Amino acid sequence: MAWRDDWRRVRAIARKDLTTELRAKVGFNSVVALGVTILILLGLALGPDAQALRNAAVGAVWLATLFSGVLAFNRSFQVEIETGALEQLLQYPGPRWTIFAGKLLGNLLFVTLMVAIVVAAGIVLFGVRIPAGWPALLGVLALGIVGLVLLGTFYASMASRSRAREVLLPLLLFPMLVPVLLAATTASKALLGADLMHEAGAWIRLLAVYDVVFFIATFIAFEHVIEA
Amino acid sequence: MIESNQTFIIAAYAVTWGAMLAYLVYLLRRGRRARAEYERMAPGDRNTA
Amino acid sequence: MPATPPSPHSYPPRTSVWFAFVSFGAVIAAQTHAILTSPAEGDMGHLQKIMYVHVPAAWMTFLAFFVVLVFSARYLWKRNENDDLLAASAAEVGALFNGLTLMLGMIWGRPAWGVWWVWDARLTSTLVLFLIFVGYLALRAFVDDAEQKARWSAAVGAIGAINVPIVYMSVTWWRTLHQPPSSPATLDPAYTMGLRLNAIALLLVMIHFIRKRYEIARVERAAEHVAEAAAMGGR
Repeated sequence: MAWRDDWRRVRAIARKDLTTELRAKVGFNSVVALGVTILILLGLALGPDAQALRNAAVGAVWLATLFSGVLAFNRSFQVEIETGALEQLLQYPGPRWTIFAGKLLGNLLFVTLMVAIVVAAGIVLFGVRIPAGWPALLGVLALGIVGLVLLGTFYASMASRSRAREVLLPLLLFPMLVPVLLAATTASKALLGADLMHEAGAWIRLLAVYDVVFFIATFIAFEHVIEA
Repeated sequence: MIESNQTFIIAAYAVTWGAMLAYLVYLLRRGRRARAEYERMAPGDRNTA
Repeated sequence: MPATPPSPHSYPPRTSVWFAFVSFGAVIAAQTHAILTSPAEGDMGHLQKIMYVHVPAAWMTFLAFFVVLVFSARYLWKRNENDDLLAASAAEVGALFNGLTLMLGMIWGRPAWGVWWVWDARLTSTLVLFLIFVGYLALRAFVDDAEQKARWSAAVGAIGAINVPIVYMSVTWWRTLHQPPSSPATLDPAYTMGLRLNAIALLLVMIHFIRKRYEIARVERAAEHVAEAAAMGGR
């Protein structure tokens, strides 16, 4: 029975975050707009040669995702900090991990929606040719998003409460995401280009291991981090 | 090729020793400052081994 | 649960000066021995001699990271303030050796490869690790409350250290998939002895640095506690 209560708490927190965001649709829209803007700037900086752009597409989409993702993660703790709701949340009975799980769910949905739009824009702007095996690409994207959201939410729980949140979150987060960036971009490039050397499999396994390792690590660490 | 490499070899060891000595000096100065500060706040109240 | 502050009587003893002399002397001895006894090699001449400082510096970096991991975990477990101070000391010294590794890698790389930087597996992953160290130290700088600083850096330190092997592996894969490794990773056996001697000597220096830095951290923290106690008592 305790499980059902915990799960209800998780959903409640996620729903609260998402409805706050959806009502203030400004938040989601501006983060997406930023992502697309970054893509456009990258296209301008790296183009106009069509082949060069096609080669740069995967990297550009991931970078745009990372930079705008940072805003999303800090925002996910913003409301609690401004209203002092975090202390109240901590006083309700119930395990702490539900707070983390709730935030994670909210951020997962937010970032997935955002990435969908940024990827679509990237396909168009960078002239990507979609291969027959495109579902595998979705798998890579999904695993990458999970890693991004896990660590982004975790570091944001601290950075958003520190003195220099705008610089601290990317500074902490980006080095940690190097394996995700390398794995996601290399696997995606391989899959887009027919993957003659079957590289993608190894990178996908790395992403999966990464996600599992940090899923466990962040949940454990969050207990220590969330005390006010 | 061999002669010009010498510059790099010397540079490498110079950088290494520069870093080690600079950090050593930093530790000495900061250590001195820290103990002086503590002494100022709690005169005589310490055990030095 | 509040962390245990050190009592006034846990004011740390001085790190021994003779150990500093011994460790630095050992490095001088090891380097002199290695430089004098290692043979010249082909048209690179004596360039390999840089490896006697570059490789031990790299090993010290990883070792320092390991210390950060162990004491971060220990702090989260026992909440003893000293564990946090030791982890932070190891992080600062580790960042020093990390920066040194990068500089030496570039100094070696310029004559060896013709350029200051290549996205070589080891240089790149060492650079990423440097950023992880920097992030850890930045977090400590931007968080004021001592207990929160300790808890957060311990979490960040532990999680950062877990990532170290993953970063290293992924950058290595990233490079080797499309290009054979260009760095002469394996040294001639003739160099191994000199390398080990230099590594041990540098380890002694690192131990001295960490101990001294830790001592300073404890003194500074003890002063903070005295100030707090005075502020509370004076009300």
